[in-house]
Amino acid sequence: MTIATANRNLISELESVLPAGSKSEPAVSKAWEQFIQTGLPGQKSEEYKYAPIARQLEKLPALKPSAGDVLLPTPLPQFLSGQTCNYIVFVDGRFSSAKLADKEVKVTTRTTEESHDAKDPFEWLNAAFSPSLTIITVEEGVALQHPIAIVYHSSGRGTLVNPRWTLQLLKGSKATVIEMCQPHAYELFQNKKSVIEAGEKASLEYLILQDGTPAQTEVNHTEVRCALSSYASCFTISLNSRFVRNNMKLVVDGSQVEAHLYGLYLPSGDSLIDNHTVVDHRQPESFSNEMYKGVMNDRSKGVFNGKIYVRPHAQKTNAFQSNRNILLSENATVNTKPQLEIWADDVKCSHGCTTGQLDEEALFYLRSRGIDKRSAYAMLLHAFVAETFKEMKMTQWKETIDGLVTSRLLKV
Amino acid sequence: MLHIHNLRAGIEGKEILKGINLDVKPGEVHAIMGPNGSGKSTLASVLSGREEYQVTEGEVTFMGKNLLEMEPEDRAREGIFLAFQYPVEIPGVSTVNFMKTAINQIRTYRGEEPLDAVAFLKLMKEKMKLVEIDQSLLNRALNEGFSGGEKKRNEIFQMAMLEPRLSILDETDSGLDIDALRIVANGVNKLRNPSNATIVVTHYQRLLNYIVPDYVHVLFNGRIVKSGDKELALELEKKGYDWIKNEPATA
Repeated sequence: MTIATANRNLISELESVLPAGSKSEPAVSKAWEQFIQTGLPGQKSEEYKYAPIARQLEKLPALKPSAGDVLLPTPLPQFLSGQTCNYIVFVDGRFSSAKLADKEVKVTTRTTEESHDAKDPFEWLNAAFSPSLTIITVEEGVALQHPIAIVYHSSGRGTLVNPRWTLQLLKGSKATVIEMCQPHAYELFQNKKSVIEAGEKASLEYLILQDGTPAQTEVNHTEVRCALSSYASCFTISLNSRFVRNNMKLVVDGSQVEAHLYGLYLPSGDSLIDNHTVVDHRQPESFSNEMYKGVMNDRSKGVFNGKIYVRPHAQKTNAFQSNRNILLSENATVNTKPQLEIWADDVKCSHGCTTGQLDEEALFYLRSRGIDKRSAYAMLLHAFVAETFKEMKMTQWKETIDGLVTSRLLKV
Repeated sequence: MLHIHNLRAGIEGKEILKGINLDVKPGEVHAIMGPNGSGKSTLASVLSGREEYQVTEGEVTFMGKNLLEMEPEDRAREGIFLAFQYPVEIPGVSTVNFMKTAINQIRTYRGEEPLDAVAFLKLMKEKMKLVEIDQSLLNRALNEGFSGGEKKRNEIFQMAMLEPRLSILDETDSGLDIDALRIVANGVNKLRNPSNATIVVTHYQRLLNYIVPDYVHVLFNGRIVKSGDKELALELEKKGYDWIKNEPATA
């Protein structure tokens, strides 16, 4: 079967499971029109060159959203056990419930309207299947006492889940946010779209933890918009999934913004983790720093694509990017590509990417002191990857991630 | 303690050691000297278990065990320590954490209880004093950004911590100024006792003013061509290596 026919089949399959009557809603019908116009990215798609998503979706059971509302007892992920959080729970991609610890957090819903600048077909697909948008708001001037935890549960009844939410950090507010799936073993496709708007002088620490869903295929659209004098620090930690594509977009929409994007990916087996990032400097005098690191084992694949745009108006921008990779096996691969487009002339930008093996001399040095090969390996890899989460201010999360990463690295 | 018999070894098919014989007993200090390319560092590498070297003939036993069959970590656990000519910089790994892992793996291997944090810190303080190394260096990532002297001092600190039976100092004097040389040599001397031994691999006699050897061996073209006491080193310093190249192999 060629990819072209596969696409057609997938699209008609998707059309057949659009909720009854939803196409009569203008927003849904428009989103669906846009989606079929763009189609699913095929082999020739530049953006999905190394992430053959259509072929991957073909392997999954028939794609369908779960019918009706699913009410589930929703246990909290182990990662958050014992922690008081503002929980916002999605089941099968739909907003289910909120359990809020801080009164300054509000959750509302309204009809989805996809923004006109959406380019990726999966954003339109999400809009077509998510007629309702969940909006979380943090009041002006409030430093939240507890983190916001956005948790995705799966009942196993739907194979197509489209969570969609927006978080607004109003002027001068401060929040720590985690987004994760409750671990499950279902074969399903998660197609997420989220936007965080950090208002003027707002401060955000944001962790996306991808772990515990070994059979899940994911495409995640994550957008973080930073207004004047805001601060954002984002961590995307991908430990365990079959096929992950993260589209992370950071929009620097004000001056005096400080923004950090960190990423860590540890694919193994036959898995693929693809991080496409965009840092878009639209206003002058802001700073962004991006550091992504990957360790590829077995037959796995890693992909990094980092775009930095510095618009003509964005003078005095400082934008830095680095991507470093270690291949542990001869059959593992990584494709990395920095893409800088700079229209302003008074900026400081740099990028660098490296791919290599573990330093044999360093390994021998540790072993010559009595440390066994496996521990020496783990020590060196840990030192390599720990840089991607060492700036995390939520020490409890940082330590748990450190533990998860360490135990993963001891297995290689 | 260490018994090397007719050792032949090389790298990438090129033979470098062409039949080495050497016996080292507890309490002894042996100096291995020789011109560049004579095989000094190869000998140190083969003894410590560098995998890129192949042993083609001969045997090496350490404390009665076949050394050549052991992994590098097991050689260390049996009591061999190599002070590197070029200590490796390892960003992200602190010396403290690294040493703690090493010591406790060695202790476990020997059937001893691992050291707890308090006992480890006490041991570290004691050894730091012995080799005159500053705590601030040890809190940093392993050798990262260290000067040549600091790296060598860190090697001797690690040696003090691990208390090896046999230390092999591979060109430890290279890149050291006279003060650093003295500090490093003092550390080595303080660690000497009747039950351990040291092999000093060096090109120059200078280090041997500070670490006085019981035996001096001259390595040339993969063989030990002359052995003697410390006077031999002085003679080499005066005459250079040329005269030795014409001597027949003695061992």
